Amino acid sequence: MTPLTPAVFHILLALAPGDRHGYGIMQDIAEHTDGELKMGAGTLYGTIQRLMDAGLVREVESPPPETVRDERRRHYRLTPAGRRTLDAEVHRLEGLIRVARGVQRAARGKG
Amino acid sequence: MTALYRILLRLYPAPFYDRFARDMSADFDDGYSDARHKGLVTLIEFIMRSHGDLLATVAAQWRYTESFMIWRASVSISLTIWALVFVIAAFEWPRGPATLLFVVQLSLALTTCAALTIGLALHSTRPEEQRIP
Repeated sequence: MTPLTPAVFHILLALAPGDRHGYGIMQDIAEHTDGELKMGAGTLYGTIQRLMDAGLVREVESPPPETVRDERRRHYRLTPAGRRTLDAEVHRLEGLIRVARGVQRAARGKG
Repeated sequence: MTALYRILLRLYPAPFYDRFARDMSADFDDGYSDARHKGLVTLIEFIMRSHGDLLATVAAQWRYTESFMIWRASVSISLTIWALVFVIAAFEWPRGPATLLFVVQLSLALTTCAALTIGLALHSTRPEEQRIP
């Protein structure tokens, strides 16, 4: 399986708990990465557009707005294919970490 | 500052603008408001990042449009025809004046550069999309 790009992975991860609007996704990404990855709106929506074209994310009806600004916003949701893609990527990363830990342990054993 | 951001949003191709400009504008408003409460440095960093990201992604979005593909193909065909004309002229007039030979050599060099540029552009298409399974 081809690895996902960081932008794609973090957007799918941010949508895993439930529907989000763009700003919510950006905030979640900043939180997940301790502020190391601050995604710009252009990058975010460009990637969302491609994820929607690929059938991994879809637009959903917005909940009743809490503020005037919320009225302008669209919400996004993972599709079943998007969730499977995210699961596969997490599984792949777990495998990588297992291998890396094993190599590190072996290296420490030799040292 | 938000007015400038809204004006710059107009630089996106129309389909992208129609689909996302409203959300991007709302996100910028919220980000601006949050950053302003965190101090001047955060605010400047936010403004620089937002505008930089916008300008970088404008170029990326235009690259995906049909008009850009047509423009790129037109330039490519024009350059090829232009180069062929000069090559034919050189064969038809081998003992012509030095200027003609100079023009032929120059055209070949320019055509090589153009072909390389077009080749590189065609090879570097949508890396994000290609990686999405």
